[in-house]
Amino acid sequence: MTLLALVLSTALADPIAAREPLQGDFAIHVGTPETSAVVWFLDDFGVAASLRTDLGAVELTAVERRPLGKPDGWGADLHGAFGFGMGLARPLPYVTAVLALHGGYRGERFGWTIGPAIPFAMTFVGGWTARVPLLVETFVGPRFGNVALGLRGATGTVLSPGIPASFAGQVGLGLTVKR
Amino acid sequence: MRFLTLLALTACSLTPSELLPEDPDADGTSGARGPLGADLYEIDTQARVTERLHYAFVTPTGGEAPYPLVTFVHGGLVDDARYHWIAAHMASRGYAVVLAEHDGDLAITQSGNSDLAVEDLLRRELGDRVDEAAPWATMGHSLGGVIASGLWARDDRYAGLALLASFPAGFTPVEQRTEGSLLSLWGSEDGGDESEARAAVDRFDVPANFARIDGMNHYAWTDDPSEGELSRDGVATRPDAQTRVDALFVLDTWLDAEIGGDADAAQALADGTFPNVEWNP
Repeated sequence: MTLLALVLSTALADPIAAREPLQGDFAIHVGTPETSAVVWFLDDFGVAASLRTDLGAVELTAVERRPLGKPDGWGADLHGAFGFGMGLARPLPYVTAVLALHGGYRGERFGWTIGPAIPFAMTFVGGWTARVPLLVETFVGPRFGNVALGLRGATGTVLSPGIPASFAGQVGLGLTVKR
Repeated sequence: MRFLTLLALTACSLTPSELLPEDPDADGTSGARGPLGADLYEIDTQARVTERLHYAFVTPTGGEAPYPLVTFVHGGLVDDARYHWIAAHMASRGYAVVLAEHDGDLAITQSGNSDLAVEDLLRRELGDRVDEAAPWATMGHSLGGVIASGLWARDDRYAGLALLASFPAGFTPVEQRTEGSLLSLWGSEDGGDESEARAAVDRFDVPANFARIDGMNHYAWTDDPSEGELSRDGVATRPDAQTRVDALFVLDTWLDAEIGGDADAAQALADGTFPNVEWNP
């Protein structure tokens, strides 16, 4: 809990960190559109917090990772998250949910995964609106024992009701630590 | 609760900066500024739930609100602040102007930002300065004109579309609009493809005019063009201060006619006699 409190107090957080290839105990991701950190309590359940790089919002999310088959080597992971966020440009509470499916190699020397991700957000405050990003993201990076580095790239589109879709291009760096 | 209160206060406390002082002696004719002043509000709001959207609102001072709205879209890789001069000019003549920012200064990546900025503005007290009953205009420079074309094509509140050194994308259904008007302004020394801009005018099913400004290049529309930008552009053969006045004379006349409902301006537009301008060449 102390570590969790430290993570939350630094306000560095977002579910992206929860999708790093290596299943660790702690992960941090710095980049666009968010900086995030996750603490894993059980093998596949954790809590993540995130701050958008444009200081648009903060989020606190419960995250879950379900290996589909073996948890290491070649395989796939299903990622889910649910949580709450708050807009910072103007006070706007919202709910967020993430669904992602990553396939690739989670090895002892390096990890590489790729797959779709939908980090959805919705609010009913001041009339309902939502954002539905449809992303393809990839993580790649070396692993040094219990520490892994990861480079993330993602691209896709962001759908929102009533306006044209926008383009998403995202990059970031991650660090995962396993006890 | 204190956090929410602080956020709410931060969001509401807007202090304008003056772009132009009032000048009762200015008459706003022949491309000159108008008598009103222009204040700039820099506004942040929430967009697409989680994003922070920044936009500028340039509003007339010293006149009687509300004012017709002009939504301006900046060019590619050009900060919107480099168009504050034209927003201030239009404000001095009684038009309120919104300029939304975009990630990487590329409006094409977030083509809904102008919609979101206007929607946010109208929710605020400042939105009372916008005449929602009047017809509006949208305009854009270069890549911004591509985005403004889309806005005009999908939002009937915008009667007028002005393209400044620009033309709509082929997939934008501008031909489906049967009401409104188009003004396309092009500098004779613009480094872009004039034939495409002229051909695009024929796609419109509304009154459409093309004006060729003598001696103007592409970046004369922006303040402080870089050496790199100018190296890719044509060479202006007259000072920007002069070509801008000629271009503004046409733009002001079009705005007054199509948005302001001014009969004299409409007649001037029909005559098409403007100094240093080839009208529908």
